[in-house]
Amino acid sequence: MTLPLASLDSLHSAQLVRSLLHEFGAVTLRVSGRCMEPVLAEGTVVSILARRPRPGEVALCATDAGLRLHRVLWAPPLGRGRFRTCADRAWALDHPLEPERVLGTLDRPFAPLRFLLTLWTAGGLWLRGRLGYGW
Amino acid sequence: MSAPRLDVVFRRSERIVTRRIAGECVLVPLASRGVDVDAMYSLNPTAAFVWDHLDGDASGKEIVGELVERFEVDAETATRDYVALVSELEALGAALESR
Repeated sequence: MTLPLASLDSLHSAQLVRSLLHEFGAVTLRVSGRCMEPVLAEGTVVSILARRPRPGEVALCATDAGLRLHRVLWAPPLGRGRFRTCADRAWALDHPLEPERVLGTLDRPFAPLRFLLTLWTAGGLWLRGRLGYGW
Repeated sequence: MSAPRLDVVFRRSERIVTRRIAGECVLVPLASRGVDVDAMYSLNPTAAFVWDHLDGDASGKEIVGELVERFEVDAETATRDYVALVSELEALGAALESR
């Protein structure tokens, strides 16, 4: 009878989490995958708060592939434009995300060094793409 | 924990949030902070029907009667399904005996 969140399709899981965040202000979930290690180890139970993330914070995002906990590199000012996010261990930036796809913020203190490291890696990836050096 | 008797009245726990999503009835337990989406339960239509009737008023016998009428099953099957489901819900703390 247990239903892991991943068993719902991405649209419905996002819809469910959004409504629960709206009503209760926080949801608890278990991290799956290793793309945010060492900050978020697989199996860690985390709280997501119903608030807009700032650059450097980890956000719960509704992507086409499902829910993802990734670091925010750029948050659009005044809610106009799209978020840019990236996993700490990723080799590419995520697709730009509309604000409505960013569901909440991980309840963890801001880690400036981790943010700078992710930003540095993401900047390098972006520059390589611009200069035409593929992997 | 013994199987629930049919004369006992059960009610839904306040610690459980019910959502209907994509045609499914989903139960989400409250956590120390917000809700725990990692421990959700999904109910099939029969189980969702029983869940909706655990209102603290209807006894097991009455709910089984409704099941027989609504889902066109025999009383024995309905009783077995009811007892199995309510036992599981009780073990999870989702259904409580109404006093």
